[in-house]
Amino acid sequence: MTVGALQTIINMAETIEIDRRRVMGVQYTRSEVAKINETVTRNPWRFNITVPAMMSYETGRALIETLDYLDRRYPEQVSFSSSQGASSGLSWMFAYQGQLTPQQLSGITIESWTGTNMVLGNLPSVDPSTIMFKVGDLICPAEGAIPTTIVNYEIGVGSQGSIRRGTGSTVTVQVHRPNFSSFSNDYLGTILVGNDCTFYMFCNNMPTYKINPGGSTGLITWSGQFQFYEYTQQIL
Amino acid sequence: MSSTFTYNIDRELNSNTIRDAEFVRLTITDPQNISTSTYSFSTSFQNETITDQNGVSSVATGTYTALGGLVSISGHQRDLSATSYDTQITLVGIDPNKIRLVLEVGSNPDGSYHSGIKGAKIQIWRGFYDSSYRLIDTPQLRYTGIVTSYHITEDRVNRDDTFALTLQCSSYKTVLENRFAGRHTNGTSWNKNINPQYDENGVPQNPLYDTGMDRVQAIHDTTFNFGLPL
Repeated sequence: MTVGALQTIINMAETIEIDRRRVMGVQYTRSEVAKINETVTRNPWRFNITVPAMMSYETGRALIETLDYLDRRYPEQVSFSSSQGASSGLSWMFAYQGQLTPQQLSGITIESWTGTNMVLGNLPSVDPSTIMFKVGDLICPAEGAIPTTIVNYEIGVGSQGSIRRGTGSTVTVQVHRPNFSSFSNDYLGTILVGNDCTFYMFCNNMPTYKINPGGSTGLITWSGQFQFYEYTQQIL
Repeated sequence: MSSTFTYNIDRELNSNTIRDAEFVRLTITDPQNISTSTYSFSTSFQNETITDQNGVSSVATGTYTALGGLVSISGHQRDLSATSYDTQITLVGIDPNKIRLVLEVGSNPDGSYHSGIKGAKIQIWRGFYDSSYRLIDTPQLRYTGIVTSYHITEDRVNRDDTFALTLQCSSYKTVLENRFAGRHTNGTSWNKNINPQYDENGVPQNPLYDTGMDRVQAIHDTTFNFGLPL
């Protein structure tokens, strides 16, 4: 399997800082009532990645050439699944937390996705108390790499924690960002869950590199963090 | 014309979290062909089709392309009475190769140029979203004006190069304030386009002719104490 350059950076990461903050401003009235104004966005994923000086020039030469080519321009798919090129040590990050088998998950389809409400159908015949998803699980339409997390938060009530199968023909989950497709039929159909989801990202902040003394075995050091930014153009 | 927010918008505004986006429509008229081209874009996260119930018609105004944070709209003044004020719209992140499209927007088929984007009609709506990011009812029309000028700026820091197009817009009221029209208080102006048909004594015979201002010129620049008691 060919592993992409951005995937290699993730595999070498020392730390990964995930930034999913929304765009908003808080103002206070004279009576000290907070008013929050949110700019509606696609709420892209941002990974700030620190890479240690662990790669020699001779082993990393192809990598830095590819990074120079990608620069801040071209996106690549990155994953946290070892079956898709990720380091096996990363698979815990977005692991599926529910109780359904991969076969049962593969049959589930998105019936509709309006705003942040995703309606799932073709549900498996399992015990109603079976946990389908837990809050924080990644879910993504199979036809587009736009992973979203399951939130299921109700103001005044709190997080639902687990989403169970129940007895209905559909289950509605609340996801962290809205469907931003222009067409009502987009992003319907089968789903990907957990580590099967992939991120389509480009490197918004591509650091430069320095080759340290030591000849061809000299280590490469980076001028700063890599910032991977989700490419949220419509992907179909 | 609806001048108030709908119940659903009011309810959202009364909550402590407000989610909004601006929808901009630019109508450029080609004076040679008397044809118009419309460009619609918004600060929203997704393309939206809105129905303009506030200003122009009740038909859908087309799809507003989601440019998100690439669109910046300056503050709007809100007054109880109609006031004139300027605003500006900035489009950033423009591909440098596309800048020429802005410059060429006023080109004619014969290679000459007309005013293009300058003088184009601009309308801005504000739309509100619910907590599930669904557009609530119809966005509210809040600004109608024309583009009075534009400028393109390049911001180059090391190898980060960004272009911004800024449209300076004046409200319709400013446009009207800058327009002078009317009649002078003299006989000629008062009866413009009306032939007096003078007789041999110099008395106008046309019944449409108004003699009310004929003697005003005689008292031009004189001090006269109107209303003085006898």
